[in-house]
Amino acid sequence: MTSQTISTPTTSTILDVRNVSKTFGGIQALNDVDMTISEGIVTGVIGPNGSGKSTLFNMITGIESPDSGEIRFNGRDIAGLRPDLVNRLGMGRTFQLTRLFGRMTVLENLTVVARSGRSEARIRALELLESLDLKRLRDEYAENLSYGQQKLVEFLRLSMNDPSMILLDEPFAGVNPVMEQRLLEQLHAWVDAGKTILLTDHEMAIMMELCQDIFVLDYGEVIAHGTPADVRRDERVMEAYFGR
Amino acid sequence: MGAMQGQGSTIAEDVDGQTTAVIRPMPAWEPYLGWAYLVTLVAAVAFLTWFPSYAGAYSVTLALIVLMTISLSSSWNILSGFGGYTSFGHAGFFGIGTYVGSLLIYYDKLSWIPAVIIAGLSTALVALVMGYPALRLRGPYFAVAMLAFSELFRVIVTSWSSLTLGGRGVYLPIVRLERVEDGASWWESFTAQLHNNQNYYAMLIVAVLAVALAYAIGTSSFGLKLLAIRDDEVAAQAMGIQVVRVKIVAFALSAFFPGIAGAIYAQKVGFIQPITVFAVIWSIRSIATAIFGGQGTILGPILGAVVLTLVSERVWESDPNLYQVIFGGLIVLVVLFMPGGFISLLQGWGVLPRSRRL
Repeated sequence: MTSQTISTPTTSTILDVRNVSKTFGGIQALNDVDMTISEGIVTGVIGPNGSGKSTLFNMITGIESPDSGEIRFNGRDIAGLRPDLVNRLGMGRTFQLTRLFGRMTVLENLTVVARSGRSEARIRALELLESLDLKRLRDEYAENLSYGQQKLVEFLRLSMNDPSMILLDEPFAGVNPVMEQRLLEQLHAWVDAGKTILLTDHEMAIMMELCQDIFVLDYGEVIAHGTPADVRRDERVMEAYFGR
Repeated sequence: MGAMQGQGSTIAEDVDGQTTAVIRPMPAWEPYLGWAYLVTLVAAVAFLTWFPSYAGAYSVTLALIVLMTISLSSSWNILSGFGGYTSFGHAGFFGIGTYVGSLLIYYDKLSWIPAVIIAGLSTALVALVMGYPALRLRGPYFAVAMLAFSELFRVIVTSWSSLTLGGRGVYLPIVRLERVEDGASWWESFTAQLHNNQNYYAMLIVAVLAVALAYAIGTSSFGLKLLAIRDDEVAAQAMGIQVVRVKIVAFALSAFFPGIAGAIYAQKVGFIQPITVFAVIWSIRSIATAIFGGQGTILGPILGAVVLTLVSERVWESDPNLYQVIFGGLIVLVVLFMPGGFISLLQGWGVLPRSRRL
């Protein structure tokens, strides 16, 4: 791969992905991916289905280990580190399909991940639920919530330990416009609080509007990088999405 | 509910166009359950302490089996009910416990009380060592690996006859009964009775410990973490829960009880051999009773142990031939029609609240 996409790390770099590759039984899921993510902004990753977005997220959060390459989070190499340890360094995430603890109540879904004392955790969880008007559902089992509600609860769950960086894997997929608005509000609240956000989604309009910086993946490679305007004009991007 | 409906009629209706089920509020008595249990436990222990002075040998033995089954199913429930790691390893731990305890006594290394405690600690240690590799396996793979573990130890104990006496088995010294003289004081007759039923009392202590631990785990954040692992381990770990540590601790706690109960059981029956103490029925019994009452609940395994042990004894009494069929059929019915067990069936009907204290 060319080294043109590597910007020199500045003081504001929070996550630095270097030469990361991963194969799954002969299929190259990621090929020599380089990515520099700046602190405090919304960075997007777009690409067709199967382009490696979820694999990249799993790599960053420790669920998969890269075959080669480095992932530096606040200067520390976290490639291959256990997911719980990555999370404890301040990295929170949601999943493409929500993954709540189904047979636990909404309140328990939040308090179980807390690292503070029990009563503190409970107070924080109730505050968070209140903030999204979900307090009423606190004693409901998570599996009984609607899909949109589950997405909101997943947002709150990752907020429990106040991570500095947040990864959202297709948060707007399968969500109706009203719920989408609620998710966007939460996302803006995070941005206002100075969180770094890494986001992937197929909703191009939202991505173009939200992200200050966009990486385009295709067949496991970064084929373009830049502002939304740059990316939109890029020929390779058009090709990847619409064919030649 | 009524008061809530006025303000901003909830996300469920106005956003998704679907309503969630009505959420039943926790009943007012729920926070007092812990105290209710404590009172019940104290009363039960008082009754069971007195029980052998009144009941015959058969009843005492039956009570011992009930107490043992409570210990087995309650401890199985820690890793497998709360944590969702269904294990067929209880037979292995039971067998190891019987042999460690029995051999320590047989070779005159220790008296029975320390021997029994060492037996429990040794199976907890085995789980601690084995946990890291074994708990990387999930679902049926873990279940089968634990089945293989039990068989492996049965073979080892059978083959290593220079230490274990192999397939011939081990005879244990008999507890010499103390006779109560006529005109003995109340205290003298009580201590004699305590000595004569030492295995029963030891099993009572173990069962009380198992029940207390079940309550401690069921109401703690540790228990909640186990439930999170049961529901979605990947998500739990990604949210910072140290799943490896939680699972290994649960495994070790879970393995302590079959070890210590096995050693006491060996004392009770006086003769052990690999084929009986490593038999898969010990795992099945633990699993069936926990499933019947309700996996992942505090009360379920206790309830299951009491009901199923007494029912199976009844059935066996009336027809030893039909026993297997009826008992097996009962378990099939339970799994088919109330897979969550008795407690969650009542919760589903709304008779019981969704309390973690149950």
